[in-house]
Amino acid sequence: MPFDLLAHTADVRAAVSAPDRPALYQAAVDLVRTLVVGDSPVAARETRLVPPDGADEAERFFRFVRELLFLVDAEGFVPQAVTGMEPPAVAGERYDPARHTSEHQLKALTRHGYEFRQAAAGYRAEMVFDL
Amino acid sequence: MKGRTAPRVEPIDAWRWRLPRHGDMRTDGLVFANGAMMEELEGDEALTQVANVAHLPGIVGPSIAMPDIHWGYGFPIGGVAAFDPDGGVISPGGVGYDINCGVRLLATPLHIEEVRPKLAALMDRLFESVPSGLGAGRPDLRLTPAELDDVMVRGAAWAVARGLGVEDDLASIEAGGTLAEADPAQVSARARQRGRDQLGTLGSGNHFIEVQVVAGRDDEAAADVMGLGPGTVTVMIHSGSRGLGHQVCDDHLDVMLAASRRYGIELPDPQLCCAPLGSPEAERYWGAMNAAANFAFANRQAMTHAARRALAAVFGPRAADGSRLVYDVAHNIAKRETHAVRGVERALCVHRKGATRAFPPGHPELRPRYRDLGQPVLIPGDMGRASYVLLGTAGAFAETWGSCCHGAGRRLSRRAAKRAAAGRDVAAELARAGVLVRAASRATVDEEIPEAYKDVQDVVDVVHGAGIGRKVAQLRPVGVLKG
Repeated sequence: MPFDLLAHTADVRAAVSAPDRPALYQAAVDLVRTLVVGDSPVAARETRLVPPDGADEAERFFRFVRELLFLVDAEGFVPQAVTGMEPPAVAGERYDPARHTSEHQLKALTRHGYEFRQAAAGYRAEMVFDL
Repeated sequence: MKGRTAPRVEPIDAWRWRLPRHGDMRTDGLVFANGAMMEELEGDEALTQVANVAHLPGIVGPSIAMPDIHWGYGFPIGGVAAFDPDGGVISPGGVGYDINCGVRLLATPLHIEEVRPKLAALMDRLFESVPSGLGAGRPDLRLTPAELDDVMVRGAAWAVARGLGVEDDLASIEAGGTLAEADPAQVSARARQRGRDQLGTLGSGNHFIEVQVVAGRDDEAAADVMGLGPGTVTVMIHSGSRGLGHQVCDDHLDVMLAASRRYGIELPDPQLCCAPLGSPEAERYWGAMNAAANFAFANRQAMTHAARRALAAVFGPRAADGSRLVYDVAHNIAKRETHAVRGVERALCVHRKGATRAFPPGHPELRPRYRDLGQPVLIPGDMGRASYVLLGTAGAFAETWGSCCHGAGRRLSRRAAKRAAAGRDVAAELARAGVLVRAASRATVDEEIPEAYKDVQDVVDVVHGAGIGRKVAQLRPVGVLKG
């Protein structure tokens, strides 16, 4: 899996890593989808654009992940795949209780412990989600 | 993930530990815990977070942590801090994403002996009546924009006016279920979008509705006033402001990050971003936070109504009509309160992040029912053991800005809890122990196994021993509804 769940007493702390930006964004989509519906199959039926927002790459990635949580909570939109990067576009479908398990409701992506690193080998980000 | 200060504590007595001021801390930390709890806390991020809060400008008295302390984000869960209106700050991280997450307790006229045979039917009815988990909504409570504004202004009073409760309920809610300084104009369109269809829904994670039985009474006279006779069945509801509150926090954290830079406030953790009390940023957050808090009061009121309907459906109208609200407390909130500081009364902004207000007998904010007794303090435990009803004390008012613990406190991460639950059928185990579980998510049940939490008995023993809470009654779960 392109993400790891790390120890945190109350919430969900996770790390995503990838060789390039598109893969990093896809890893975030995989993480959020897994936290929300587990292994339930999710189809790419609809697309949402997530316009980049933020002064640097770290902030833009933070706000991308935060927008995924908003789409889940406000629209029931479960992300499946990153289909574009300029601007980031995400395909997925609406949550369907008949086909999707309900694993977690994610309240928010916190700024506590947020780390974003870019190195020769690629990208790595650590995040804490409030549940 | 470390702050700038390395936590080191020294014992004060059997229940108190001092985290001495060092580095850029402006004050000491004060942690309530017994020796065993402190051993478990050693090296934990939660103590670093106690120290981090002590860095904030204008903090008055120590950075306080209750015995249910655990690692949060920004403030520790179980954290209490008061700030001077002159030079102090307000921090959304000191309130949390789930603004006015809280607990309410309903005492029914039913005895456990008459409930046991129909408990499964009651749990099924509750599960149908109170939506939980992803995509949950109440078709009967979809709000127009004007109605949502009204909810944010009137809180539980809106719900009662809508027929979701009785006037008497309002007398047993912190602040009467309505915070007067709400300003819906400070709540964004995105927050409204998230909250619009979520009134009357439970959420997930550690939120729950429990059917419980009064299993022990430490203070029989006080328990009688609260309607908590031996064997009485109670309903406890734990939930908050749902997506509306989460979005209010997110929106204003962005504002506060910029404000912290503008006002030159150095932060050991960005989640502690804040603005000076009285500043435009602080006032806007204040209005939005109170609006979200009122949404939470209305949310718990709507679920109370659903619980009464479920009781009526299974046990007849007497069960609903005779169910009386014991109390409703917020445990994620900031309040403007008056407290004595070195003998002088001062207005302060008290942040409670996973901590419960615990005002003493005689406090003018208490309604007549509890004026002579003190404020009820509701302490949920875990699915398998117990919850507690306490009372606020003069000790709490003098030492912790009138605050007490808010729960048992997690001791295992969700990942560790899931590992511990692997290969087990937790719901079946609980059923064998006499606790029926209904849940939207098996993952949540596994992550919420009893051993994921400290023993609430130990936690309430600490606050009782330290004199910041007084034990009244123990409630044991017989049915649990989880998101």
